[in-house]
Amino acid sequence: MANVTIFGIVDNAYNMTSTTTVAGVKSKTTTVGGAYTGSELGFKGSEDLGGGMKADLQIHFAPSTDTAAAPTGYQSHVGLSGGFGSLKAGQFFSPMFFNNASFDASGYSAFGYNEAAVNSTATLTSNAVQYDLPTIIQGLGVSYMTAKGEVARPAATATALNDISNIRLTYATGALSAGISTATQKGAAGASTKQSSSGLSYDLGMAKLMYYVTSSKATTASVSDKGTNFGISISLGATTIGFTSSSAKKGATQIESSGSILQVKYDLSKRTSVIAQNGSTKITSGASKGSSAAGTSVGLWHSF
Amino acid sequence: MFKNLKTVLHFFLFSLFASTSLSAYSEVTISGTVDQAYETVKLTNITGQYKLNRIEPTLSNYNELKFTGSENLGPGLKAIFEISFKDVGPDDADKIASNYTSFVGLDGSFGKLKIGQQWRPMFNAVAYIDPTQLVYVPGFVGTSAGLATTPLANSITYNLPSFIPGFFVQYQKGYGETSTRQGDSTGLNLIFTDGEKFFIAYATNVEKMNSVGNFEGAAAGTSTIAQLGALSPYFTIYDSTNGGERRMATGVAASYNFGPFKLVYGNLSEKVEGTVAKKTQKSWE
Repeated sequence: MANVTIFGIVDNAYNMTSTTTVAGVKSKTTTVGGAYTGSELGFKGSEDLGGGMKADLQIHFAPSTDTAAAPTGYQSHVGLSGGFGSLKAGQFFSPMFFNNASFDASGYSAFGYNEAAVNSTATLTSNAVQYDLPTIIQGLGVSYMTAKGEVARPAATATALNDISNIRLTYATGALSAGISTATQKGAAGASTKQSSSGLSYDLGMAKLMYYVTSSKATTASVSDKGTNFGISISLGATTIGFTSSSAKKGATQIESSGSILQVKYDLSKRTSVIAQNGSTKITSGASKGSSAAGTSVGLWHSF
Repeated sequence: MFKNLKTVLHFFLFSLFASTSLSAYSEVTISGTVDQAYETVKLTNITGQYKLNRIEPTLSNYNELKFTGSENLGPGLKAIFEISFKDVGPDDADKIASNYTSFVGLDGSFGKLKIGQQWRPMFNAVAYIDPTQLVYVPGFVGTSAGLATTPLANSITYNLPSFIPGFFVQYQKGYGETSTRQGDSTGLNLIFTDGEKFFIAYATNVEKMNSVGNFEGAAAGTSTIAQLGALSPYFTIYDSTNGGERRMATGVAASYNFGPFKLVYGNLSEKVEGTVAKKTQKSWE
């Protein structure tokens, strides 16, 4: 019999957002909803198969905890783990996602206002298989994921749509952590997009410095989308203050934008936190130069 | 507007409530309701007579699956949460569960604060005393008042601590999540009860509408509204194209338990600002 654990998060916040157009027209909206991780509900478990081998399972939903919307599928997978490493198949966040998130001082918050996320493969990925190597060299981690677009062959186009190959290498020693991830996402008619993320963090004790750069370039484009994110996370007892400053250059005309997030997380316990966030983004070149968005959020986050 | 004559016969009712606890990182309680009935509905309106046979939930209105829990944060403070789904029952083969009432909150000496999709104060004040437990048809609250018996999305609810034993005050703010504030609402209820014999409640709810007084997404004449009107004798359509910008509801409820029987009175009215039409329900049970 497999042991099954119920787990989840309820994340709801009071959010005030405002946008300003190039013409200076302002608009404000108040919303309620998850602004950090979003809510989730899952069942996970494992079965001991003997000889150091385990079967692992997870069925996972993202329920709407602020509206009547139906829950959506989240990270659900089945796999094996043992001395050979771990193998899982299903839907889960890509190694590219974790490379961005691991070096984001605001926890890669669902609040937004992060301009560095130019790599579209840094997301929840369907129809995926991932293999994580066992620890061969202390501190070194290797993950490889392939995901299928599930296009019938022979397809109308020469290549499958949206097939993704993604690899991530991580290394941690003492206060230093580093990670690099590259991915190729196939498109139609032989086109594809190559993406990457490289990150560093250094733990000074009370504060942790974080930095990552991202890029995405389609074979049909002459230039890459590029993003950078610099952040600092400061721990003051139960309070953690995170600040990120990000920028990006996107599109054929390399439109520039910048963003920032200030996040204060106060832990009422290991599982319950009050999270306050303030963020803004601004387009600083091109036809939309001067348009901006800003938001403030105060929420309650509980995991179980 | 329909003038309805309706009869409902419940030939079969099966209701099951199951509860169990499973421990993960914190204690999580799973509970639920499975509620199915065979109904025959006879309807007479201005377009003729209709008969409808169906399998529908009755007592609870919905089949429900719920996960609840709490965490003791010390000095009288608790974190509380709920995630629940409705329409999980078997009456419609391909029915997809949707969120019902879900929230995360804090409960302590300051009162109770919850964020999520929750019952309106009007529901808490009025609907609980309905002896038919909000059965669609005979209940005096029924479904005719939109501000009463539906959970409110994107809402923040605050319950004051009990300064006077038996006196309960709840305030709720809901957000339509539009830049025009359409759909924003404010609700309040006051309840006084000894928990055994008497119960008295007053509740009010005000919702901001669009500039012509229609509900968001419920403009008159749309096929959806027309279909709802044709299918359900319990659906009320507002078409106040010259109306105001607010929809207001007020509810008063009282009950006294004599032991062998319970006397219940309820009055629920709802009105769109600037219109003549006013919908009122009164009931003695």
